[in-house]
Amino acid sequence: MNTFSHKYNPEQLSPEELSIREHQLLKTHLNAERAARWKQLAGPKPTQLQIILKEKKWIWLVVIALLGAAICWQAGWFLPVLKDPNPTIAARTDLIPYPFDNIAVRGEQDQVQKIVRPAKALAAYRNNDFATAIRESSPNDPYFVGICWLQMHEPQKALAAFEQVSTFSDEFYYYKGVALQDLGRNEEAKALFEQALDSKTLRETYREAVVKRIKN
Amino acid sequence: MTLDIPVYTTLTRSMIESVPSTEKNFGLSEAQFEALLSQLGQGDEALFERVFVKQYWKMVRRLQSSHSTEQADAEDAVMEGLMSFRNILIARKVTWGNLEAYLNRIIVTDFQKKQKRNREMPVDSFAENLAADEDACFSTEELAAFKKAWDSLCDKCSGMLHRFYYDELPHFQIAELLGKSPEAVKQDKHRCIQKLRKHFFQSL
Repeated sequence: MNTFSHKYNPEQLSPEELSIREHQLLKTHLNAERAARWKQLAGPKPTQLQIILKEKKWIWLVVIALLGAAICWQAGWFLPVLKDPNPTIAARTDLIPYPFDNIAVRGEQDQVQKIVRPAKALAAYRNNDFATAIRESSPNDPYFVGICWLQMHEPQKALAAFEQVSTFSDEFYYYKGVALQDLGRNEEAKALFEQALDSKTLRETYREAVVKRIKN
Repeated sequence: MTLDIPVYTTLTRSMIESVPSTEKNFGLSEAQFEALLSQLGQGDEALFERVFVKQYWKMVRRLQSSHSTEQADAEDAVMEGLMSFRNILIARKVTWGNLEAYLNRIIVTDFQKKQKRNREMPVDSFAENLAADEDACFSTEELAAFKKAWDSLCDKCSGMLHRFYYDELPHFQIAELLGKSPEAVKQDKHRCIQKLRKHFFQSL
């Protein structure tokens, strides 16, 4: 017999009834068995998501979210979010804004290229919203895109766009020269500015700007 | 000329509110609750487990949020509360009405009592508490020996002892359930105790 068996000495136990200790032991054992079974029945602890879905709290969350959205919409609080984060960038003061038209015809007689500028791109350009202008621009209009990048102080991107231009106008040398100057490539810029000055058809405004840039 | 005005029963707001709904009773109607009680009385716990044990985690969460308690403590309290509730149902000490609030009160009261007991222990009852704890505490060897002895009992014996010592049903009620005379039940019980003791001492 083990050390604790004296607690259950049959000689001290009543023949018919269980002793208090035996009774407690029976209850403890059955309670433990029951608890184990019930825990198994209850299953694992539900996650927060399961609780929300089960208790249908999500309906209230959806209702509150919809009401909040409706209020925000009505009050116009979404407008800053829906708008372009950088909507209007002021045009550079040291750059002549090119007067783009909705249709541009470029090239020689046998290779005439007609570019139709989307109205949205043109409107954005005229509002100094150059980011939108680039987004809305026609894919075959690198000159327009290049000038927009230049207005946004992105000479590298502007130069990349200008590299794709196949037919050059008098003003093109000016804009490309500005891009190079912005990048610190002054010698290349100067060469382009001089090329612009060689053209007799260069407008006076541009001529003055080019001379000013060469001097600086 | 006389007018026969029909008598309509009028329900006041308080009367409407006092009507217990199935929502307050874990979805059980009064008839279903009665069925549950009689099933429990006959030892069939399937409906009880389907209705109440399903609420286990919900009640644990509720106790945790209302008393900012640890999860393990809340789990123990809910489990003990469910067992107390089962015993109360078997003894038919509760009526249908607002079972959810009733069960919740049992759990919270038991939990608070236990907390109070753990917090406050008067010096004069210290030795007494120690003795009580020693009585209620069983070693794993004891429990293992008892489990072995209990599992070796036949279903008839384990059912009989379960009803008498665990569910605390009187002899006559067990006799009714088994369709026997109370004397026969007493004799069977005596025989089962002897068998349990014999197996228990063999397992020790």
